[in-house]
Amino acid sequence: MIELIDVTKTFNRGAANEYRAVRGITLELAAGESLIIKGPSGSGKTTLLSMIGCMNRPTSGRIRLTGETIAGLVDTDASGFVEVTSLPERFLTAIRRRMFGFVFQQFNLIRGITALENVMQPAYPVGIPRRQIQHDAAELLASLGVGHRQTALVEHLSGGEQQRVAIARALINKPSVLIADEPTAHLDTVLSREFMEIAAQLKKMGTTLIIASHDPLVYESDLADRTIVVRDGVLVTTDTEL
Amino acid sequence: MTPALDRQRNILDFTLSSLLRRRGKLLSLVFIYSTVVFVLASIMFFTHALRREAQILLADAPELVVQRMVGGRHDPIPLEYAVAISEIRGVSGVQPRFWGYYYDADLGANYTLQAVSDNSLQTGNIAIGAGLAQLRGLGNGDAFSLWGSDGQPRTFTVSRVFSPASDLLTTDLIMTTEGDLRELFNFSKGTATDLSVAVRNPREVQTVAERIVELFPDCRPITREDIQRTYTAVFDWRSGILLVTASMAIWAFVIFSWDRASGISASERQEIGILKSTGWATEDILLLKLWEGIIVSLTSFLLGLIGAYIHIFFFSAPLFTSVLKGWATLYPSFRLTPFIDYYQVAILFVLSVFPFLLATIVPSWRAAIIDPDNAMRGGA
Repeated sequence: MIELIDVTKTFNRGAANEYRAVRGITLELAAGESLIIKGPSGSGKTTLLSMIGCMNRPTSGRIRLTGETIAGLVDTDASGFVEVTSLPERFLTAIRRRMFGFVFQQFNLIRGITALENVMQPAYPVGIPRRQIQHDAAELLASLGVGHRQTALVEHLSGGEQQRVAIARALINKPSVLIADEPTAHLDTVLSREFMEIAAQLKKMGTTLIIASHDPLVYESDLADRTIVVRDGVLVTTDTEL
Repeated sequence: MTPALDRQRNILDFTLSSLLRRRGKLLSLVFIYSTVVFVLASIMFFTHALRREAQILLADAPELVVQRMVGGRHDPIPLEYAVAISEIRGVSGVQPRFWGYYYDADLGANYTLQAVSDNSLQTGNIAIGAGLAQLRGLGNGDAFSLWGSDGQPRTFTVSRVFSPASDLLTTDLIMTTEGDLRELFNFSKGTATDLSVAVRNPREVQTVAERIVELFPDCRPITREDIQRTYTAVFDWRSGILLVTASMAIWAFVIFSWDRASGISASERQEIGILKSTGWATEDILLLKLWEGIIVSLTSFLLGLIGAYIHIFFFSAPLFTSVLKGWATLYPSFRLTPFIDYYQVAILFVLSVFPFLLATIVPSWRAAIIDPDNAMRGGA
């Protein structure tokens, strides 16, 4: 479960170009739930995702996490929650690595290496034997329908293939939460539908999904358990529980 | 394998893959780095090997040489000085030496002519250095003419060519009998070029030298240590010249390292962001960069060092010959005995590898401590 309590994020604090990207958002997300975050460009969706995914600390407010994947990593309170806001960087990294998988808008794949190596890369620092990582990565690529492209350099892949590689990379460390930022922004309708099918399969498998998108194909789909709208850093509406 | 070892191995594998991805940059980096190490190691190997070679050869040199000085210049020494010096307590023998220089206008080269102190040569015969023999195409039994100081040519027969192993000192050497040399140079009777003095107890050499100066204030005693010091100073001076020349390369390397230290490329920065956002910790990235630095610096250091070793000890330093050699106009073509001063190698290692590692790690550390969030906003 993920809890955000009155979370704010201000960039360039105290400077002339100070910018408040997120302004007091409170949110709860249950394990296995799928949340769609709607909002126009610059509304604060990405900042919100990065704070949920422990890639960025809020300026104020609290973010609390609980779940099996982080148990044993850090001390929890009586209710089993970990307050991540004040955790040292190394714990945040460990939580990020175990609990979250990220699919970025621009895919952020490393050019010059193969699809398989890109998928394997997040598991390298974990301390798993390379052969095991390779096996898992190949299986993931095959399950996402790009097993035949595993030896291709990522820059030689189509947009859809690159996204599948990015999804496989996000899943290599078996995260309980998948965070996707505008996953269909660079895909055509067919490929966007394919992504939604993959997301649906992950949901069935119990993965928590948090997807930021302003693509109707995503937020109007039946994938979302809940849709929220963010505008100018503020939670405007909390949509229906489906 | 333990998880810690697996982590090391995985990150090392990824390092190699990263390096191969940036092949062009890697090759230029290794080339510049190893060239600098090559130049510095070559100077180091060469001067040390020459110094050692000289020490070995000078081990057989006389403990004390006495020269007479007139007007600050070396002048023939009267033989009666030898008699007086031989009576100094502690002196076991005094041997007059006869030698001089001969300019060969055809070759534009100077030869060193010296008289043998024994009967190993017969009148009219000479022994010559391998360098001279090769240059003049001479062998045993060949005739070789030299112009006397009276303007008349004198023809000698080559009875021996010195081994190339002694080339450092003999390459331009011509040994004759005392009589032949006196006649050729028109040395006045009753004088020698200088005196070689043997001392019973090596610790008394300095005392004997001081006694000689007391007896003959116009004489300058030169101890073997003095000669060794001169050799060392000359080699140090020569290596200094080369170091000044090489300083341009070293300076370029420093600027290059500083450039690396002051920033990394946008693509490297983005890659670090991607790694962080996908679960790599700052220390994982530092480990990656440490491996990268170790691989590049060790490879370059070893390439430079091995290259320098081959350059000096297998090819006799063709790149430095004109600066570092040259006791005579005929350059010795000897092959140096391999000698490595491990202390100097260690210093070279520390001075080249550690700054480079630092220059690799510091900017990466700077990039690795930024929020991975930045990577989410960048493009692939």
